[in-house]
Amino acid sequence: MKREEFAALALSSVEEVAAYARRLTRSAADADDLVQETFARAFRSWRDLRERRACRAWLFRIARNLHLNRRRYASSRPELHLVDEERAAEHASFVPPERVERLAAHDLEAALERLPAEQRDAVLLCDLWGFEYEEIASILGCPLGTVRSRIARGRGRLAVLLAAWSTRARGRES
Amino acid sequence: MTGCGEWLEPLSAALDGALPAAEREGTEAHVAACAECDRRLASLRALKHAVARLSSREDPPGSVRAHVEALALRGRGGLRFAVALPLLLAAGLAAGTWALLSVHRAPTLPAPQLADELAADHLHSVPEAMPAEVVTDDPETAIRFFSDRVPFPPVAPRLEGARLIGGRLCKIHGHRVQLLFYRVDTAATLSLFVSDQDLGSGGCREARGLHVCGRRAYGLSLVAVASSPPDELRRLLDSAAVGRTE
Repeated sequence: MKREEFAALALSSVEEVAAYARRLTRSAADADDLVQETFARAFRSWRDLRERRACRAWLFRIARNLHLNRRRYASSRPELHLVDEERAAEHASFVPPERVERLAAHDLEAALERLPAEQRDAVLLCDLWGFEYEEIASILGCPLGTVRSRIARGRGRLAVLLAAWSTRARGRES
Repeated sequence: MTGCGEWLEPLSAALDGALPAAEREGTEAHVAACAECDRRLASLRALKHAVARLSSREDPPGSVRAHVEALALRGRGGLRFAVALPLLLAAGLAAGTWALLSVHRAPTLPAPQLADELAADHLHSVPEAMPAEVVTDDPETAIRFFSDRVPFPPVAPRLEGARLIGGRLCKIHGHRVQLLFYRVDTAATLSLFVSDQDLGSGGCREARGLHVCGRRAYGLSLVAVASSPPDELRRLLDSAAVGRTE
């Protein structure tokens, strides 16, 4: 692949990388910096990219690694893993599909915020950006089985959280 | 309650077409025989589609795009003219447009994309989602926090019927702005973006299920984002003009 081809490919992903950076950093200012750093890194090491079709996942992986490196130097709260809630998600009622259709975006965003970061990442990479499991494994740097498990647990927990929301909403309506 | 917890993972993988052939047949047979798992599969499918409808792209600020496009133009010998010229024009246009809009744009409704960006910021930045950088109900403390951080004299307007609870520094299109948080009487959290750039300073727009309303006051652009009805947000913003700063 020539540099011109890589440049055109990379530039076609700027908006998606910007959206991913915003979700990783949760801050417009930090996301701007992360986007710039990601592309600076990508244009320094574009020869490492072997396949054109892997470009998008490769850019996402760079963004995520840079973000994690930054966080290692910043004070951050430890993530709470609510094991009991996860187990409950395997058995509790799921939100009915017709309720999902009526869901406002901010309710869905709020429920996503309540997922453990590793599950949220996996669900969004799969459903929002449409990556295959193999690509998600390369972005997250974890085995395929872990990707499958994180997506399933994330979706399960989301379905339970929204079922609770749906029940409350119905209570308000009646 | 159901005893089908162990089927969650195969059901989820089946949705993505990622179920190995060895598991597929057993999963399909189970779903055909289990009404509960059939409903769960429908729920997971609806959720997958709902997440897919969220915004997967964001237009980065002109300065960020220009920086990235400049990176593309660097390198050995640069790009060929046919590629380089459109990129240069796009970078120049993005930077120029923002500069022009910042200086000359008349007060208008917040632009749809900006409203979406501010709504996303609100969802990610409210104290319920992440700790505020300054936690205070004292306007003077908030003003001191922002005084060396934004390129304009900061304000902390008093909003009638809402209580200041904190703030954080924010950047919009590469420009530093204040982001103040208020607790509204209805217990909702309101984000107030304050900038010396024009963010759109009249009327309300809906974005991500929230309302985004703007106005000008103190020579600054104030944009409120909350789930409150537009009339309520307008009233709060109008009260800001009366309240001035503490």
